[in-house]
This record gives sequence, C-alpha cells and structure tokens, in this order.
Amino acid sequence: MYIYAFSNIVERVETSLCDKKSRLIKKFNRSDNFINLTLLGVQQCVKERSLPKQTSVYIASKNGNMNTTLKVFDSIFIQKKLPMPFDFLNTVNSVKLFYVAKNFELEGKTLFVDRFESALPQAFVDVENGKTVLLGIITEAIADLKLHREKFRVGEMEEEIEEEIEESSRWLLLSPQIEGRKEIAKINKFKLHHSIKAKNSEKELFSFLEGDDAMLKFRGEGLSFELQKNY
Amino acid sequence: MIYVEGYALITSLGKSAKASVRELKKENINPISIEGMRYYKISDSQPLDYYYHIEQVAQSAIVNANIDIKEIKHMALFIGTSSAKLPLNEYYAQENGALLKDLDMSKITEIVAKKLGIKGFRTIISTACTSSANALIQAKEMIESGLIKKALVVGVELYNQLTLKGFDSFMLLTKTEMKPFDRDRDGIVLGEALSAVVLGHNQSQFGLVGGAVTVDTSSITAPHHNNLKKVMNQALENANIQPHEIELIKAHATASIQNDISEAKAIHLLFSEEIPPILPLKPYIGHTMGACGTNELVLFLESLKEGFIPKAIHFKNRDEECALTPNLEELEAKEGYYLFNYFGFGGNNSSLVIKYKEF
Repeated sequence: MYIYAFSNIVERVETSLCDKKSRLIKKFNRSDNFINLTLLGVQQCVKERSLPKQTSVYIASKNGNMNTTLKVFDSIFIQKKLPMPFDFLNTVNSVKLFYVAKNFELEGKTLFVDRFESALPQAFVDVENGKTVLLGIITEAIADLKLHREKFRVGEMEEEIEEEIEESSRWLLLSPQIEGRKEIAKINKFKLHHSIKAKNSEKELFSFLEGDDAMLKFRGEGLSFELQKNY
Repeated sequence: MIYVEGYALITSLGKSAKASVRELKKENINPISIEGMRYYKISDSQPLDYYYHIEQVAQSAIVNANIDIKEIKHMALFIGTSSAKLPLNEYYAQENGALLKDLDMSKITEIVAKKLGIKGFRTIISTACTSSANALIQAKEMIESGLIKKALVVGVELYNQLTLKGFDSFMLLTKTEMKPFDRDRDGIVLGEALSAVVLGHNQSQFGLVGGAVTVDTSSITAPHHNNLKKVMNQALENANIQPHEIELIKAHATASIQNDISEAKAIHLLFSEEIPPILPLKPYIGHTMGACGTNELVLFLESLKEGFIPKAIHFKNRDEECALTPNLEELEAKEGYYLFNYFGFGGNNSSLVIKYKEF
C-alpha cells in the first residue's frame, strides 16, 4: 500500500472556531463546521488530481459532529421542538461522506468509522483489491469553548501541560503502486495484533510524513506497520 | 466462501430469532404510540439496558455459532449503528440536562469487546440505514483477505428521540401503518431492534456470497434508480451470478413515496421481465435504521430455517408508478440465491447476496 498524497490541517482554536467555508473551492449551502473541516482537509490532500470513480472514502471520527448534535439536542430537550431538517441530516454520519463524494464525483464505497485504527485495516483490504482510498481523520472542537474544556479537560493534564484546543482534518490518499507516479511513502509489514497498546498516534504519522525521517515503525492500538520514504 | 455460522435477534416481536419469527408468522405486530408517532419497541427496554442488550444478543450469536471459548478472543468485532450512543446521551440529557454526555463511538466496541473477551480487530461502522449491512460486507472482505478469520457483526439501534424527531422534521413518518409499494403508502414507522451475526469459514446453510456498497450523489435523501440498479448489479457480480438466479429480493422498502418508486424502478431495470418475488420486512419490525441490515437478514434466515418465506403485509392497492406487487402469500423455503437491499441517507446504498442450501 502506497501513500500518494496527504494533508495535515490543524486549526488552533483561540477565541472561536475559525471560518472554513471561505477557503473551500467547492462550497455547499447546508454544510456545517464538521463538513467544512472535512472538505478543507480532503481538498488540500487531493488538490488537482483526478480520482478513479470507484475510490473508497473512509472518515474516522470518535465524537463525530458535536456542534450540530448539540444544536439538535438543544431543539429537542431545551426548546422542546422539532430540529431543523438539515441540522438533523448533518448529524447523520453518512452525510459527511456524501459531500466528499460529491466534491470529487465519486461512486465507490463510503464508510464512516470510529477511529484511525478501525479505518486503516479496512482501507488496506480495499487497496489490496486494487482500489484507491481516501482516508480522513476528523476532530472537531465544540464552539462553546468552556464546554469543550469541561468535556475534554483541556489544561487539566496530569503533567500540568497547558494544551490548546485544536480542530484537525488529516487525510491520506492510498493506492496500489501506480506506474509513472511518484509515491510519498510505502506501508510495509502491515499486521493486526491482539490488544497491543498504542505507542504512536496518527498525529505522529502525519508529522513523519511532513518531516525528514526516512522510516517510522508505527504501532497503533491493535495494528503495526512500517512507513518508509525514499526507499 | 464466507458463511453465516450463527446469529441472534432481539426485536419488538420477540427476544430471540425464534420468538421473533414465531410472532411474525402470527402477524402479532404491536407498534406503540410515542408522542403521537407509532414506534416498534422492544418490550421492557430501558435506555440504560444499552450494553446489556448488545452483550445479550452477541452472546446468543456466539452460542448459536457454537464457538469455542478459546476462539472468542481471536474474533473481530464489527458494530453497525446509526445512532451509536445517542440513547445514552439522551437519557442523561433528560435526567439532568447534561447535553452531550459522551459521544465517543469507539467506547462502544471497547466496552463490548472487553465484556465478551474479544481481543481482535474492532470497528464501528455508521452509515445511516446501511450501517450493519456495510459491517457485514466489510467483515466478509476482511475475512477473504486473510486479515481476520472470524467476525461478530452486531447491528444496534435503540430508541432515541433524535432519530424519531429528525424523521418527523422531514415528514417521513406515517401515523397509520407501513405499506411498502402500496398506492396509499405514506411513510415510515421506526423501530428498535438489534442482532448479531457470526461470519467465518465454517460451512453452514447460509453463505454470504456477494456484497456491494456504492455512493449516490444525485440526492442526499432520495436514491436514484440508476444508482440502485448499479449497487444490486455489483452485488450480483461479486457473487458471480446473473439476475435470473435470484429467488427473491428482500427490498429496502421504507414505504416512503420517493424511495419505493426508485427501488421499484431499479428492480424493473435490472430484472426486466423476470422479476422475482419482492419481500418488504419493515412492516413486521419497523425501520430499525442502522441495524436493519443484520435484523432483516436474521429475520429472513430464521424464517427459511423454519421452512417458509414470509409474506408481505399491509399491501392493498398496486401503485402504477412502482408497478410491483410484493409477495402476498407465504412461500415454502427454497434453496438458492437471495438479494437483500439497504439504502440510506447520504446516498449510501448496499446490497447483499445470500446463498441458502438445505442441510
């Protein structure tokens, strides 16, 4: 499996969530913050490349679309009224995939999963079956920063490290080897393991892709592989 | 070939596959009313039963598949769900106004795997109504690739207001009954149910021989018939069979006006003059959203095991635009290939092919 492109968008949140829509080449009327964050990352990863129609799309996100879910909960439980139809729709995970597929006119498999370690083995199987895969890992922050800090205990780490609130949209374009096209890295020795603890995070994987090191031995929760550049 | 080695089911009809099929045969269907909307509820089910229900259905499938205790830890766990932890979040929201208690989906597989003793690969798949159908397809492909040997695929959808009110906001719910393909159909009745399927290489009566997932970007809420034809066709190609070899189509059949027309047109396009019997199952258990993939599969397989194919209920008047009359008589179980359709919001469409062989 080869990495042909990647993006590593990390948005620091200081006083409010930053605008993403204005930076999108293709904009969608009813897209929310999560969808715009998703599109921003995938746009930077794919750039001007044309993708095969049967490209699979995986989005991994533990908490999904928190801001719109909060908005819909507020309608139902606080205001005691029906949610706005398109707010409800944006909470549905397959809807985020729709916008990615629409953006690149794709017709293949689209799957929303819980985390990077769930997505990569499934993408690996698709690539083994000859497919191109777009794999994104999306983390949204809650616009109510006080609530975000409460939920995720930012700044309350044991080591007393003042962590910043971040949103991220990290993407990989994976494929079997394409003749005549230069890959960024090769994924070797891909293995699943029973209950091995993670030594590396996806954040380190993307830092490696941006950096000068030639080799990363990646060990995530339940999987391991070698990532090799300049081989 | 990948086989269905075992399964289990909990529905509004009953708390096992056997009990559900027994009540299905009697048409003992009793949706309740929630704030004026009809809903198929599991009897005595409470929001905090969330993990208890999942553990119960998963354990029953493991027993049904006769899996050795030593084998369990090597299994992979796939959970297909649309609403994920919403029922738990809503419980806390109602109890103490704590909006957004915890949405982290990965905790579901973490907790369930720990309870069951599963140490292999685990994933949540959340693609609206196709979630657990896609989980079956992904599990099949991962077993075929050799990355995993056996998979426990669980479909979970338990009562939550967000789904019910979200569908209501789109005016997709009927206040009467679900009448798929009927001229007077006017919408969906939602339901809660969960099921578990064990997939592996051990031979059984049921082979999962084909599957396909595609995305349709023509509309975010309503599929286009050309794209539905495409996903059914890809599933048949994956199973290496021709349309005329299909004995029956378990239709997605939500009884919503547009979706039934699209599915009917797609069936006409693919099967032409040789349309096999069409069976909607949602009128028996409701539209169980992300779990309908495994729920309707298990309900159907257990019916075959009991020697029959259920009949379509609530259908009275043929709709000329659909031009389909579903299977109105109970049929005898028959060996052969069966096609299962599942379509979801966000243009996510899936079809499965099952091969049934009597032992």
